[in-house]
Amino acid sequence: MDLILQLLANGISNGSQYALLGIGFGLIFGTTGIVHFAYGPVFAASAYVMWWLIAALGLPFPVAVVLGMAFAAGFGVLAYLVIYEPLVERGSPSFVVLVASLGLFIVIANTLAIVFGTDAKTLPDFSYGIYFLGDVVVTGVQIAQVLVFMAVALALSAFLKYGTWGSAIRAVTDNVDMARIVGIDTRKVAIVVFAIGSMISAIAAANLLVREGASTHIGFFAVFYAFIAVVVGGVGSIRGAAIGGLLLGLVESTGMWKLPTEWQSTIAFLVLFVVMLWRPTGLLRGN
Amino acid sequence: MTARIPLLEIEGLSVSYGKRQIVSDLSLTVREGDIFLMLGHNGAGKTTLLRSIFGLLKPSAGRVRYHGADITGRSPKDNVRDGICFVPQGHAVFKRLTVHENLMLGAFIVEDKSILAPRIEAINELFPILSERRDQMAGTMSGGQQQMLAIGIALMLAPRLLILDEPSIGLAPNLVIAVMESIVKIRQSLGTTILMVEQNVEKSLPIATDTMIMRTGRTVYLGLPEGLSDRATLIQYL
Repeated sequence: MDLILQLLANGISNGSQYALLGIGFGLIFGTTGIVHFAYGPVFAASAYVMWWLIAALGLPFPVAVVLGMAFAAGFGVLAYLVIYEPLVERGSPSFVVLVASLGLFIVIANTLAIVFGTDAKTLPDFSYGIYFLGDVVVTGVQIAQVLVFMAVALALSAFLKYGTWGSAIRAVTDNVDMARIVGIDTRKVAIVVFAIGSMISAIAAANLLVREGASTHIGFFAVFYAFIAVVVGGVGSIRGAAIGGLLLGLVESTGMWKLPTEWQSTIAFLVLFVVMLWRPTGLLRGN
Repeated sequence: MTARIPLLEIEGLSVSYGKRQIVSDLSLTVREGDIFLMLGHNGAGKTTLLRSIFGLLKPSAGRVRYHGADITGRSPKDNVRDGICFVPQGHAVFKRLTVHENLMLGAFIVEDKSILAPRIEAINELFPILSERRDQMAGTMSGGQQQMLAIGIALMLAPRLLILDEPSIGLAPNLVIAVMESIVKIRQSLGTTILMVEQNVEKSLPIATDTMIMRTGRTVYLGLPEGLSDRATLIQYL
């Protein structure tokens, strides 16, 4: 019983991280229709930038996170303006945009490896507490992951519901043709979602930097889990991406009860496969 | 009788999809206060023409003038700001947003939202069902209700020119009559000029002030609707 509770706690914590990645990726994918696989290396690059700001420049962690978010936003917007927008403008089919995003993924990931090396970059002297909830042991980072996810999800929901640009994003996600017809600047909306989605990836990167450090492969796993969370939850639904991420974390963690950890990624695919068979548009009726 | 002022002038407009020309050298004038009706079979190029007037498609040749100014190829965003609204074919609403959110999006470009309450009231008066369904998801409403909402969205900007693409498509006969009546009311109460494509000749012709029939991208009839009152003449053009 204690083991199950421990696995559930781990699942909620990991699921929060996947959900956080999912809402950022899903915001971009659901609004623009672009499968932005380079979301992963943007996430990784912001982790490296934050590490550098702290380890090399000695900046305080919160300042590094804010700068890392700004860097990610700029990087994401640049990827849209330089790579995706010209292709979309020319009427390229979606698979061409997809291949371009994979190309961008490889270029950024390799550049990071060349610039920072392939060894993991961890934060020096970064301590966090260990807490006991009954017989369940959780770290400060695990608690922070859950709280950060909840704060970001609530802030994003409020922005989408009440903000002017939030309603424009919802309109474009629902019906891009109608959004143009009512006078919404869909290009600006795309830029805004690339900026916000990338900023969210940087927040998730800050979580990972504290927990494990930055390394070259983190970008792949970030976009892998984000993509599955979004497809499982339903493309175009931020709530769906959050639920998809949490579900993924819970199933993956409780799966460790009987399976060795090497099966972790396989479980994620299994969740995707089962949900797609049962509900092809995702748990929350996506596009 | 005073001469009606031209509001929209199309001169020699051609529109192509790749190498295929859909609209060829087409000209027409819509005057202030008109209900200008475009008729024609499927594939005649009517929707393409409307979309190119509104800036959703770029014409390959010709000019579009609005109030004398050249607006050829101008973006929908700028057209909307200038009082031109477009209701595309097929229940053009934001299906996963509520009726109220849909109406508010219709006035997205309006910065001072405080002026919108009377407009929403006027739209609710025209389509009372919309106030009853204020918080319902648009996609869960019937086709007729969605069409009323689609027109309501366009009316949120109190447009000077309202472009409607087959507003009666897929509606039950009683709803077709209701939609046509609402178009007449919009023209009378708001002074909005209407440019409308329709397939339902029987219900749309009586409310029209000017008519055009298109066939394979070209004009085959341009004139008063009375000229088409004879069934044989109508069949000849269609």
